[in-house]
Amino acid sequence: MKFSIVIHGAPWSANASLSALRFTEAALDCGHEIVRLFFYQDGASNGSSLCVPPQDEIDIPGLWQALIKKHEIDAVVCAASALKRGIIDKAEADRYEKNVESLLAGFSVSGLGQLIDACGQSDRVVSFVM
Amino acid sequence: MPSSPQTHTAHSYLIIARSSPYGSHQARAALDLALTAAAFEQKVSIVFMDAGVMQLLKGQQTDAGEMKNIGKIITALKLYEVNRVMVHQESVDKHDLDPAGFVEAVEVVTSDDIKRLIAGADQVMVF
Amino acid sequence: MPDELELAGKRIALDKQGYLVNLADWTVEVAVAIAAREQIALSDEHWEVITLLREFYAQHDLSPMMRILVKQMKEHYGPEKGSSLYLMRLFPEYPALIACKIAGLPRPTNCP
Repeated sequence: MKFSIVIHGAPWSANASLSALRFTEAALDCGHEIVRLFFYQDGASNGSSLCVPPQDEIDIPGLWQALIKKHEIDAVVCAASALKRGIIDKAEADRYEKNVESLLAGFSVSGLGQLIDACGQSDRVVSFVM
Repeated sequence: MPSSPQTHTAHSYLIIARSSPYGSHQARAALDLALTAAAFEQKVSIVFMDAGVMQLLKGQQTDAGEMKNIGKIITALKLYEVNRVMVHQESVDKHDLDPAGFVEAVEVVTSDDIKRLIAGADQVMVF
Repeated sequence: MPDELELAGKRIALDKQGYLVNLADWTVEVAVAIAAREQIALSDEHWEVITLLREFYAQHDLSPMMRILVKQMKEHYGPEKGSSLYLMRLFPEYPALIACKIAGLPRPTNCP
């Protein structure tokens, strides 16, 4: 089955992010396809390259990044959500005159249209809100 | 826009707005999604229920620039061709509201109607 | 680099892409000056679009997406003005972005 996953929660604030991560892993293990991960609202923070969790806690953005890399998943961070939360790629850092880029490699920034597109291509869209 | 959706057939979306207008950004996120899906010519319905019914109230005062005015954004739904804008009867009653005091006329639906809407939609998103 | 306009001795801050930093700075004269930076001399036709955008924003707290702007143009000014081609002629290349910039609306974030 083709799944898309919508992640609404920030890492460490809501359980949405970790639940979504485990669900995505399980879906892949069962042979399903992930069309796209879409990080919306607070979920955009999962794409931050600037998180530094303590050593005895899991690195949620890092786990996402590893999963995305391993399975070559299309991972999109909502542009409007990301900009407000300080998640910016190189092009945006330049455009908005910021001296640092903060988007993890493997993620991309795009519009909400990518979520609509994912819905059109997927058998199931699963949102993780809480 | 560099990337436009490649969806070939329109899908139906049911967006359930259950959050109060200014307690979180959920209300805004639901409306943004409804407007975007409609702008991409999808078949979109939105239903306001639970605390979400308060998003419909007339006379929301947002100081310029501090927060987006949810009531004003709701009046754009029809312009974007969102198919159905609905409110849940029981939630209206529970909050003791009068639909005459809403930013615009919306369709009033029951819990049973919402069950059927959920069953019939390709995508259901709850905010 | 951040930029600015100088109008009648008053300095008006613009961001790197030429959008107003403070939307409240917008006046008709500011619109003319921003348009000039885009090599656009504002005609009545341009003003129809700018007025429509500002009214839409005031009423709905939103900048309309391109398709909706086209639809609104059609409704207000007739079918020959309600087309993306028409807007493209008035505000070349990126009509929605450039028209918003001149109308003093926020920079759209969804379409980088």
